[in-house]
Amino acid sequence: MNPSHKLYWLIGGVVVLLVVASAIGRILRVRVKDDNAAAVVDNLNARVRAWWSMVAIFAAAFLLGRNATIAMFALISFFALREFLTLTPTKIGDHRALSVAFFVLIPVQYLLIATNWYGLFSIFIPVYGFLFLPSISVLAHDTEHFLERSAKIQWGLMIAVY
Amino acid sequence: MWLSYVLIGSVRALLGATPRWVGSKPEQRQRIYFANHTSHIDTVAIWSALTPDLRAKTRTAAAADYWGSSALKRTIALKALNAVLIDRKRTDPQADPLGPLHEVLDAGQSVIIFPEGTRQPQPLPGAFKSGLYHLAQRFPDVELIPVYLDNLHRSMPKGTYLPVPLICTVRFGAPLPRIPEEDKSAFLERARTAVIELAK
Repeated sequence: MNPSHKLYWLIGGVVVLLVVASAIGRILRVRVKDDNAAAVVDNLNARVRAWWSMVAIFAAAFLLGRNATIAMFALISFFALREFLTLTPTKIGDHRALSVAFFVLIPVQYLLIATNWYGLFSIFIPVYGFLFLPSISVLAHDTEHFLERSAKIQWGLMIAVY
Repeated sequence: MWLSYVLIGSVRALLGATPRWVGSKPEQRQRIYFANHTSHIDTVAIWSALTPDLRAKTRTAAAADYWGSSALKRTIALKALNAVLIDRKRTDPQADPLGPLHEVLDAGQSVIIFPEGTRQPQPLPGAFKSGLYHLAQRFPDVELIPVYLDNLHRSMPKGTYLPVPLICTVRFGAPLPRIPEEDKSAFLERARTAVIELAK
């Protein structure tokens, strides 16, 4: 079985699972009577629908080929990092470092992947990002909680992008 | 104008700028929206949060000494944001600096104003200038809606030129009740508290 066959089997299997889940959701919705249970089932159905759209996006990206998949993961990194940093307390002094993280590091990292430059993409964020981002932050002359702030931004990048 | 769609589209993609209608609904009524002011994106963020039919009838107040100072800024303010330029420096001492806003409100449109008069480094608003009071006095039937812009002070603080993508929300509160015979400072303080309440 070649890799693309495996991919079709995978997508097919997931679709079958989702069809089963949707069918169960429909049946439950008809059978439950009281309001509490109905709310639980509605919640379940909403989650199943969300999975349908996630699987649809992933399947479309995989079927469109390598570059589409890379672009999709770049977008996912972008949204994940945005979510992470929204919840992370940063200061004005980090503004430039954050801009660089979003608008330079994410595109460069995925370009390195797209061009198969394995040697650089495997160390780009853990080594160069690790040295480069605090160096930009330090130019803002704000030393308060400096190590904490740098560490949080670095972790966000490691989790969301790397 | 196409530029307004570009601005609204990029603010939505980068910052979300999702509306939260806490105490009021997006209704077609004449309103004065007043908000805390921390970044250049504030106006576009409120605009993106309004529905298109409301947006078409809502105009923003912008400082003439800043937004009128170069051709590019002028184009963005007047063409893309459909702003009303306010002479906050009072270059002509005879003229009423709020005059342009009176015309807009007389024409039945809504306005967005930032009563602090300038961008602040901190998220919670400082003292309000008296413009809001005078507008409220002159237009007693217009709803006064407090608006709190969350996280924009982190996304693009004063002095920076590139927004950092962070999720921002726009909270619209309940209309500020009118109290007859209330004096200016009490009214302004009450309005400011209404915005701060939305921050919680």
